[in-house]
Amino acid sequence: MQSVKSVRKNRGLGVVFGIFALLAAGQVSANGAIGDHVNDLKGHLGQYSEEVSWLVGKYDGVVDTYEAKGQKAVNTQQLIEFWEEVDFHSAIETNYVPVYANIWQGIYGIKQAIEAGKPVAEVRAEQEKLNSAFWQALGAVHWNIEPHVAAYPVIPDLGAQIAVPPGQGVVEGGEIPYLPEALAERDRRFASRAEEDPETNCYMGGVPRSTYMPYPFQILQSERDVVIAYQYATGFRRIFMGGEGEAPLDTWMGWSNGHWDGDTLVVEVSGLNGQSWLDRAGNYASANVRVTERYTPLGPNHLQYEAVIEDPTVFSRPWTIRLPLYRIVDEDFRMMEFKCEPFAEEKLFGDLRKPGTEAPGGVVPE
Amino acid sequence: MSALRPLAACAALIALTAPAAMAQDEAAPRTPWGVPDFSGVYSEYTPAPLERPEEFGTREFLTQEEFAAREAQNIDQAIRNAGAAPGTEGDVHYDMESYALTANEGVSSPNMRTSIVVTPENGRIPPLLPQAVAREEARQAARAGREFDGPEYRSFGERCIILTHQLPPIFVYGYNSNLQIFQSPGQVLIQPEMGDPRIIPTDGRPLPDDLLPQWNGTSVGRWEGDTLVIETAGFRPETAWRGASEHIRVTERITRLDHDTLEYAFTVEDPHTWAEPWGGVYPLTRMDNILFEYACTEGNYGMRNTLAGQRAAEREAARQD
Repeated sequence: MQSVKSVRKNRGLGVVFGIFALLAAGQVSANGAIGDHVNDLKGHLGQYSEEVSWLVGKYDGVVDTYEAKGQKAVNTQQLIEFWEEVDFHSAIETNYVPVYANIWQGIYGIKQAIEAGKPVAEVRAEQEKLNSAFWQALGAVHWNIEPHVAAYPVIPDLGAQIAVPPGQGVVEGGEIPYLPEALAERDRRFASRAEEDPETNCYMGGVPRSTYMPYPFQILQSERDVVIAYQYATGFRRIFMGGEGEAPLDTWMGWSNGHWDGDTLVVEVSGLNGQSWLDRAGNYASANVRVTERYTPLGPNHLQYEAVIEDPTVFSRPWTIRLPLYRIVDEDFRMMEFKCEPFAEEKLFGDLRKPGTEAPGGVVPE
Repeated sequence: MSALRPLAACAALIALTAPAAMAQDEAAPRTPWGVPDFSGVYSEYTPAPLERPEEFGTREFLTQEEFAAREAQNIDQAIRNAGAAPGTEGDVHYDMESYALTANEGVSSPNMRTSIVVTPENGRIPPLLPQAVAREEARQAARAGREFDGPEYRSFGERCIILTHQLPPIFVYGYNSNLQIFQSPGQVLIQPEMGDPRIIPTDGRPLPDDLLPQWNGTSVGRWEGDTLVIETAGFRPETAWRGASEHIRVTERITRLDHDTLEYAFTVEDPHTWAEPWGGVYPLTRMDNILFEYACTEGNYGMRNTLAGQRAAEREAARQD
């Protein structure tokens, strides 16, 4: 929940970010009083989700009418009225202003395309942009390591296969205590996650993200050593149990000093380079972060994992991730390698491909 | 490189057979579960060349004089003296001392061998069979003229997928030629500095016949006395390490020579590639140091620069046409 002060601040940001600042100002009055629901966004997730579905259907209906009966059959003012009807509007307006501008751009994109008599395909393209902005906004009040309901996939081509499944989150108290500027940065990262999430580049996951990425990892330990090998990006950490001092410089997987507290392995992680994210939803910490992990046995096949995250440049207080880790008990299980570099090459280097050529598909033998 | 060690250590090092059982003391630590404790960080540096110079024939070891002469010539001198005249293009290279690319970057142990390869007895890798030559030619033809079209046509190393010298068998390389070993009951983990951590179960399970191909292959280990024996198969066919097929099998044998030195021996066999198995041996020398994170993909500016440079060259060529 945001303080009044930060809401005001975000309104201010809206003017900075909003390309349609004049329109936005007009809408604030048209939208009337902001309801109490904006003080309990999470309590209204279900409502917002229904509203977004309703909106998508309404805009679809308008474009269908345009396609079937032409420009004269459409009242383009309706496009604005739909958006003004929903509580979701003020939720976004008060909290996630950068996306708010995208929504207005999307609405006016459809409106202007229809009024100019553009081909239906172009109107549909504008509609896609609006839908994307809606779902981004819905995601922005939803969470990833924070509690969240199911959401549209970032890249729509694979449909439900890569949609975002729901989750109750793993953050103690449900919400990450971002400082206001850091929250805006998180939202910016959320909106651009398809481009910016380092996971999409096959970059190492960092700590604690590597622990709860959807890939197995393996702990090896002896009296002297503890090491963790992660399947994703063949990540690896050595946990120094002998007091190796502080990190000489920052790295993706950080510098881990461990000790035993009874049956709990406590790992102090520093030296993280701040380039990894905390999840796929733009949550992050900076290179100033210190993570204190605790691995506690709950039984022969379970560990309780806890990570206290401290970064006074990003968060107002230390906060805690907590989740159980389940041992993989499949007979003969072996952690296979996930060398993900080939899968990121088109994204990272496709713009430099020789004009007129395409990716070969599959691995070219060396 | 340090001065010669006491003769006894040298003698142990040059022996191919496992050293006589050492007293159970600090010189040969064992894990609490009773196997030799190899855990630590090691340098792979060794002055012996991979293949034996032909003038040595089947002779495995240098004389003391030859050994002293080879020690005197370190790698930076070798590169500097590679034939490039001062001021020519071929003479443009890193300052080997500034960038720690000399043979002295890593520690190494005395090695009087004339070559790392010891099998076959001429110390040279057997020639490729005709079918392997044909595969090699087909691979080259498939990428001929496309080498700079896109990332997929660059080498696996440039793409940060694998560095073939970091796969089993691990080979000495020009820099970062180090590895670390960890052990836990029933498992050994070996990580070359620029390679992937390889988890090797030593619980007696066999290497399955129906392995799915992996860039690093799949390894299982076992203890034969105090020697760790690792069998690896199931490599990807595209890797084509030294022309090998996906049927290549690698056997590694790691044995302690003294407190700070392990002997790393390897054999490769692939009847689709070589008429006979071949293999070699070199020492791993313990370092009082840690390995640092090698983030290849995360810092792969080279790929962008390579492709961007080629695109720029093409635009320039088009302008001049």
